[in-house]
Amino acid sequence: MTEPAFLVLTALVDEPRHGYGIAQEVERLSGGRVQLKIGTLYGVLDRLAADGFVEADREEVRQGRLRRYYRLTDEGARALEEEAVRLADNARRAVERLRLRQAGGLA
Amino acid sequence: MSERVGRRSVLEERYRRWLRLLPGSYRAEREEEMVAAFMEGARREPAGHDDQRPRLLEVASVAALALRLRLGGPGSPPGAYLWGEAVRLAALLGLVFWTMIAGLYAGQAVLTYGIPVDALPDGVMGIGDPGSPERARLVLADLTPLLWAAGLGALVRGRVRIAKAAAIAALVVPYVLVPPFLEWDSALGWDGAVRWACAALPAVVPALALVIGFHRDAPPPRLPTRRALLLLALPIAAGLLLSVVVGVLGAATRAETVSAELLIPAWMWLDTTGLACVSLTAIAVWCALRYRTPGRPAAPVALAGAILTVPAVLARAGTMPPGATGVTGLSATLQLAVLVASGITLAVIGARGMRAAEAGLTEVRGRPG
Repeated sequence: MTEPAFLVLTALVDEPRHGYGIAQEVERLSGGRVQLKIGTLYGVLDRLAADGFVEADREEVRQGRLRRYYRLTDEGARALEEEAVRLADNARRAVERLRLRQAGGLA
Repeated sequence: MSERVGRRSVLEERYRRWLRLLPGSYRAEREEEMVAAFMEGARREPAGHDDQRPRLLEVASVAALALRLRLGGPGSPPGAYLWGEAVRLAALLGLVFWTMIAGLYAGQAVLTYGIPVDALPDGVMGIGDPGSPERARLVLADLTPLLWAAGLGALVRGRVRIAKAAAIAALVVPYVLVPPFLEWDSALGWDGAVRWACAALPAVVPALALVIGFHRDAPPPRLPTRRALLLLALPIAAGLLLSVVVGVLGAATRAETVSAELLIPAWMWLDTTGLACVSLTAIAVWCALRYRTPGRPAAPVALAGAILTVPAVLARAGTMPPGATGVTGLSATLQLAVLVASGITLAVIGARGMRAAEAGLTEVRGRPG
C-alpha cells in the first residue's frame, strides 16, 4: 500500500469526507509533508474504490458545487489495520535495533 | 468581491480545460467534484499573480491521471485497455529492436576498434588511436546501446522502474559521449537540427511508450527466467549476425571489389532506419495474416506497429540525402514507400480492432501473445 493510499484510508476512519476534505486531512495527518493534488487524490480514490476499500457515501451541493463524500468500508478498515500493524512492527524493530546500537550492542 | 469571483471563474475555466484531458466517461462522473475540490483548495491559497492559472503540479496530476485512464490496464474499458496494450507493446517491440541494434553496435565495436586485435588500420574513419581517450569514448558510445538490452531484461522480469531508467540512460548517454552538435555552426542551421531530431525519434518513442504505458494499474508481466533470457538472446544474436554482414560489406567497400551501385542500397537497408523498415514490414505482414484468422486478435500489435511507424517514417524522410538521385534516391524512396504502406496497413487493422473493442466485442479481451 502506498503512503498516499494509507493516509487517505486513515483520513476516512473517523467520518466520511469529500475530496477536498480528504486532501486537507491527509495534509494534517502527515504534518504538511503530503499535499495531494486533485488528480493524484482521485487516482488514489479510484484504486481504493476498485479494491473495495472505499465507497461513495452521499452527495451534497454546497454553494452551487458538488461534494461527493467517501467512506471507509469494512474491508478497507481491515486492510488499513493490517498495514498499520505491519508498519508498526517495522518501526518497533528499527527502534529496538537503534537502541542496541546506542548501547554498543551492534556498533 | 466581484473581481475576486471573476478571477476564480477564469481559474475554474482553465482548470476545466485541463480536465478535458480525461476520458469523457470519467469526466461525466467526476468533473464536478474535482472542480469543487480544486476550487476549495484554490480559495484557501493566498492570492497572487498566478492565481488565475492552475499550478503546474495540479496540471501534472491531471495529465498523469489522464494517461493512466487512457492507457488502461486489465479491468479498464475495452478501448482504454486496447490503447494501453498498444503503447505497452510499442515499448516492448521498440526495446527488442534496440536490443538488436545494441548487438549490432557491440559486434561492430569489436570489428571496428579491434578489441581482440586491431581489425582496421589506425586512422581509418576517425576512430582514434588505440588506448587514447578518444578511442575509449567511441568504444563506450558503441557499447552504451546495451543499456536497451538491460531495459528489455528488466522489463520482462517485471522490474519496470529499472527498465525505465535503463531506457532513458540508453537514450541520453550516447549523446553525452558523442554530442550531436559538437561542431555546431551556422551552416548546420535549423535544417540540421530538424534532421537530427527526426533521426532521434525512433529511439525516443519506445522510451516514452515505456515510461507512460506501464504504471501502477498496468504492471509488466514477469516472465520465467528462461523465457526472459530467450527474449533477450534472440535480438542480441540477430544484431551480432548483422554486425558480421556489416563487417563483410565494410571489407568489400574498402577493397572496392563490389560496385557502389550494389553496395549503397545494401548499406541503406542495414542502417537503423533500414532495419526499422524491414522490422515494421514484418510486423505488418504478421498482423495481416493474423487478422484473417478468426479468434486471433491482431489489433494491439497492429496499433503498436502503427505507433512505431510514425517515427520511422519521419526518420527516413528527415535523413533522406538532399537531392539524392540514382540508387541512393531510389532506395530511400522505396524505404519510405514501404514504411508508409506498412503504417497504413497497421493503422487500418488497429482501427478496426478499436472499433470492435468500443462496440463491446471481445477482441481485446483475449490477451495478445
